[in-house]
This record gives sequence, structure tokens and C-alpha cells, in this order.
Amino acid sequence: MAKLELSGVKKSYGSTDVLKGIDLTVEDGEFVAFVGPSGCGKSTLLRLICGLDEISEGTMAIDGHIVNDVPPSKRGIAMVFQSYALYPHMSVADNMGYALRLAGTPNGEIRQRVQAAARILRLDAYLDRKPRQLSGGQRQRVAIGRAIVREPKVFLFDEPLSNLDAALRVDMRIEIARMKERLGTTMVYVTHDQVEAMTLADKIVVLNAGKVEQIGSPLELYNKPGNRFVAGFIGSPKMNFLKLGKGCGNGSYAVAGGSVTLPVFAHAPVEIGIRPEHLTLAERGKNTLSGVVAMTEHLGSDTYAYVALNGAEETVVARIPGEKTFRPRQEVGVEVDASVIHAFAADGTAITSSGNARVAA
Amino acid sequence: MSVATRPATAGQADDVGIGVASRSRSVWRGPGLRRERRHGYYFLAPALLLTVALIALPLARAFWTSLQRTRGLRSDFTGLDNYLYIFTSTQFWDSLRISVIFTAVCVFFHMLVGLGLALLLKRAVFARTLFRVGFLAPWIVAPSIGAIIWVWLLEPQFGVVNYMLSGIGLVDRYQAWLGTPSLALASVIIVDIWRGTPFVMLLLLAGLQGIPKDQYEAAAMDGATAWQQFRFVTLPNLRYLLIVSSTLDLIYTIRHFDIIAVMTGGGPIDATEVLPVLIYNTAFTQNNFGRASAIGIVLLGIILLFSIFYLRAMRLGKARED
Ligand SMILES: Nc1ncnc2c1ncn2[C@@H]1O[C@H](COP(=O)(O)OP(=O)(O)OP(=O)(O)O)[C@@H](O)[C@H]1O
Ligand SMILES: [Mg+2]
Repeated sequence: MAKLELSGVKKSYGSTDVLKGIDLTVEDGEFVAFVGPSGCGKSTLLRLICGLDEISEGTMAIDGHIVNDVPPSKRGIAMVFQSYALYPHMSVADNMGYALRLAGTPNGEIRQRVQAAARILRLDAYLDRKPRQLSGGQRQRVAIGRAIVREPKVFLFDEPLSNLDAALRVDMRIEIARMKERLGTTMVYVTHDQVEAMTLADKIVVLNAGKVEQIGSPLELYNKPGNRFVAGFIGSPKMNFLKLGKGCGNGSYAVAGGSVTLPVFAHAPVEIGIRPEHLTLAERGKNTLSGVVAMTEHLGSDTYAYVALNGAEETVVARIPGEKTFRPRQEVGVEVDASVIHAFAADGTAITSSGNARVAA
Repeated sequence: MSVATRPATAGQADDVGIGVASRSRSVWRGPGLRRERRHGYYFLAPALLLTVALIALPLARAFWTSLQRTRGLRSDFTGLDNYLYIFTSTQFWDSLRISVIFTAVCVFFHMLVGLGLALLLKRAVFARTLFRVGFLAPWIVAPSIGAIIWVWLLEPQFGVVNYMLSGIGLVDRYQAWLGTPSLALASVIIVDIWRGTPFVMLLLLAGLQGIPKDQYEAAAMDGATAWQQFRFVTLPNLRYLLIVSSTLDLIYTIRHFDIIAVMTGGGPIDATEVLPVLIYNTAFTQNNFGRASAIGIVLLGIILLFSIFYLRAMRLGKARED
């Protein structure tokens, strides 16, 4: 039904460039998540897509038609605002049916569509209430219901769950996943929450400082980050980065706490990255990096152990089974699963190689 | 209103000196509470004394005067004679009628023009501050001084208004704006619109700026035109402020004196003699303080009615926000 194509989209406010050339295709029925640090331009991009702000340069097309000059209401797009943006003086039913009413839809049909949406979102019992008489989660559902009722070609969500508490957030996440299955509509979703992005999205777009860093499926981004930024941004706790010291021949490099042996790369790597779950704590030995435990966090199922490697300023974090405990300042060896090391060149791009890395103390 | 969730404000005499925390903690019940309350009244005393001296006493005195017949320095108690007189005299009813017309028309236009200007100013990008200050000027100038300026502007022979209007052919001869009964009321009304609009504009501008931007954006996404956004977002959000500011403005305008006193003194042929001017003329040109006080008390009653309405609107608005 709806395919979004953005090419060379730029946005500037006065002399500040907020978006610096975005190329992006959202396939019909796809669920795409925008992630990125605060201020990177996620909301701005969403507002350009729905037409609330004007594109400074470049084009945006829906199903092949360029819509740069089409007003928001004519694009067939519905937006769910982070603040919900419900009309405070209208009942839930009126809030949901307002767009249809403006479009001159007959009353009977409005009622029917509002009730259908209310059933999906379990809002039937609240249709006569005013927004201020609802809880945060209910308001959020009304905001989503308002979008559903319009039967748009594309749904946009700007951090829809960020005002909810943790438990409700999980509920609503499942709700949105169900809605995605049920409606099969193209959806674009902005979030700060990694879990939301990883679990909901077919495709994640990582933005940084107004540019696309990488586009890919959640696992692609996790397993094969294209650069250091994506590697550090996707995944929690963050990926550990180790600066490579002098090479000692045979692909062996000094790192904090010992040395690693890397396969041959096309370019010389300057840094390697290791995910926390690929580190294990063990007795000090020949194939471990040595350090001391700085702190542990027990999350029940997992334990995060922060280890200060000898000679390093920052700690590395290892994700280990929950029952393990360590004393602070206990001396440990850090074992690296060498098959899953990420290597980065000086400009931050990831370098791939066929061979495996080896670690030595 | 629950005391536990709202801090006591200075305006709530019964809560004076008793903070939120002390109310909700049971430790403070008993003698401690009574002491706190007593201390509260000590703090209130100076303000209370001033209020009594400056408002209650003169008011009581005015009421007392309204029950007297005063001639020169002599005064005799005559009961409600003054009230009987004014309610049976055409002068009072004429004046009341003029007051109602004057107030209704003025308030209507204060609101209308004020809202229009506020909407414009909210959008203004160019020279925003300049416009805001510029539109506030009539409100900053003392009303009597503004009125004097307007008397010059409206002067039949040399006034700027006649010069300009006849220049573009709108009036064919020199109009005596303040000398013709039908024109005089319209003239003072226009001047009062000039005076009273900025305040309303300022209130409404503040209200407009408080409306969340995303409601407009949601409405734009829903396909609302500019008019529909005004009708379904701006007006409902402003409703309570519109009620409050129009009532406030009404209370202010019905007792407004300066402009008419300076411009026409109530004339010509009493065409602009609103109640406050009637009171003044009765007291100081007819030297009838008793009757003037009686009219004053009646006007006070009218204002009190609107004040009650105002307070109710305030409370209603607060209840809705909670
Ligand atoms: N109207 C504006 N005028 C000038 N700069 C703006 C405007 N709106 C946004 N910006 C700037 O554009 C940048 C991107 O803003 P945007 O709201 O898109 O960030 P975001 O990625 O959504 O951040 P967050 O995750 O905090 O919501 C920010 O640096 C912001 O300061
Ligand atoms: Mg944002």
C-alpha cells in the first residue's frame, strides 16, 4: 500500500543543518525504527515525513509520488505524538473520530470505526470520558486509536512509550506488536529504547548528528555493525572498546591487560570491540587479559562485572551468569571469545576478515 | 479542594500560617494547631487593619451617608428616601441604560479586538517586541491623559480625526464628535476600546502561548483548516480565560470614570452620563452627597454580582484543571 522513499533529504533551521542528506526507503508494510542519541534529528525526520515541517532540500515520495508540497492531512499519514496531543475538551470517542468528522464522514460510519478501534485497544469502556480522566497508558492508547481510526497508509510514532512506567511500557510494546501484525501497515517508530527497537522493528535506522550511520535488521546491526558508532550504540550494556597498541608481528597487538592476536586485515585496525557477553571472567592464565574487578551489578539473571584492565583508564564490562559473585578488587583474568571480535579502522569503520583472533596474556 | 495536596496560599484566610506538611501530619493536631492558627492571625493583622481602615470604614461611611439628606454641612437621617428617589427618577434609569450600553459594547470590542490582536501578535515574527510594546501603550498611558489627547484629536475644527476623515471623504463636513449626543457616546466608546483592549490582549496572548503546540499539529494532521483549528483548539483551550477576562474587564469598565469625565463630563444632554459620572455630578455639582452615595451603593451591588460570577468562574476553572 505505501512505500516511503526519501532521497537526499536535508533540513536546516536558519544556518544550522539538522539533517544532512538522508537516503532511506521504507518498504510497504515494513516496521522501521529510528534510533540515535538525543538531538540527532529523529523527531525532525519524522516531522518532515508527516509534513509538519518543510523539507529544505531533497525529495520525499509516497508510492512513487513526490509529496514535498502535499499538506500533512493529505498524505495519508497518521502520527502518534510523544505527548499524546489529545484534545482536552473532547471525549475519547470525539478525539478518535475528529479527523473523520473533519473529512465529512457520515456519523454512523464514524461511530463504527471508532468502536472498532476501541475494541482493538480495549478502550470500549472509556469512550465517553475526557482525556484528563484517563491514566497515562489509556491516553496513549487513545492517541494510537486516533491514528488507527483514520486508516492511514503510514503510521508514525515519536517515542510513544517514553512517558509510561516500565511495566506499562512492556504492555504497550506488546500491544503495538499485535497491532503491527493485525494491521500490516507501514510504520515508522522513533525510540530511545533499544529493546523497543530490537523487538518491534523489521529494520533499524541508526542516526547520528543528522546522518544515517547504518540501516539494517536488528540482528544485522547487532552482529555486524558498520562502524564504531553503531557498534557502541546498539546493545546494552555497551560494547567494550580496546585500543590497539604496538603490533608485535604475527598479527599480535598489545592491549590493556595483555595482548591479542588478530587475523590479517585489509587496513590496519586501531581498535577492537567486544560485546559484554563475549567476555568471561576466569583465573588469570595464559590466554586471558588481566585486571581487577571494579564493581558488579546483579540483575538476577545476569551479572555485569566491571573490570579495570591493567593499564587502562576505562573499565570493560562482562556479562556473566547471575549466580557468580566477585569481591571488589579481586584479581581476575578476562577471557575473550575471539571468534566474535569487531575491528575498527582509524576512521571508525568496521573492518572484516575471514580469520579468527586470538588472545594472549 | 483538598488541603493536603495544595499549599495554603496567602489568599486563604482560614488556612493562614498552616502549611501543607503541618496539616497532614497528625502530630500538629491539638494545642499546637491552635497556636499556629493564632500566630497566623498575628501575621495577618497589619493587612487586616489596613483593609478595615481603607475599605471597610469608608464603605460603612458611604452607606451611612446614603441614608442621610445632606445640605451643606447639615445632614438629617432620612432612611431609604434616597434609594426611593433614585429608583423612581428617570435620571438613574437613563444613566443605568447608558452604563449598560457603554459597558456591553466596550467589553465586547475589548474581547474581540484583544483576541484578534493576540492572535496576530502570537504569529508575528517581524518586530515582535516592538508590536507588543506598541499595542500596550494605550494601557500604560494614564486614562485621563489619554482622554485629553483624544479630545484634541476629535476637536471639530482643528482635530486630526476630522482632518483625515474629511480628507478621504468619509465625512463631508466638520463633525462635532463630542458635541452631538449620538456621536458622543460612540466616541467615548471608541476611546475606551482604545484604552481597554491592550489589557485583554495581554491576558489572551499569555493564554494563547500556553496552548500546547502539538494540539495544533495534531489538528493539522487531522485535516483541520485554520478556522477549524481556531474553533476546536484555540477557543476550547481559551474558554475559561475568556470568561474570566471578560468578567474582570466588565467589572473594570462599568466603574470606569476618567475617560468620560474628561471628554464629555456626561454630556451632551446626559448622553454619556454613565453611573460613575452620575455619582460624581450628583455629589459635586448638585452637592447631594446622600443621593450620590446611594447610587454608589447600588453600583457596588451590581459590581458585587459580577464579582461573585468572577470568583465562581475562577473556582470552576481551577476545578477543571485538577
Ligand atoms: N525549530 C528548531 N529550530 C532550530 N533548531 C531546531 C529546531 N527543532 C529542532 N532543532 C534542532 O535540531 C536537532 C534535532 O532535533 P530533534 O528534535 O529532531 O532531535 P531528536 O533526535 O528527536 O532528539 P530527542 O531524542 O531528544 O527527541 C537538535 O539539535 C535541535 O536543537
Ligand atoms: Mg525527539
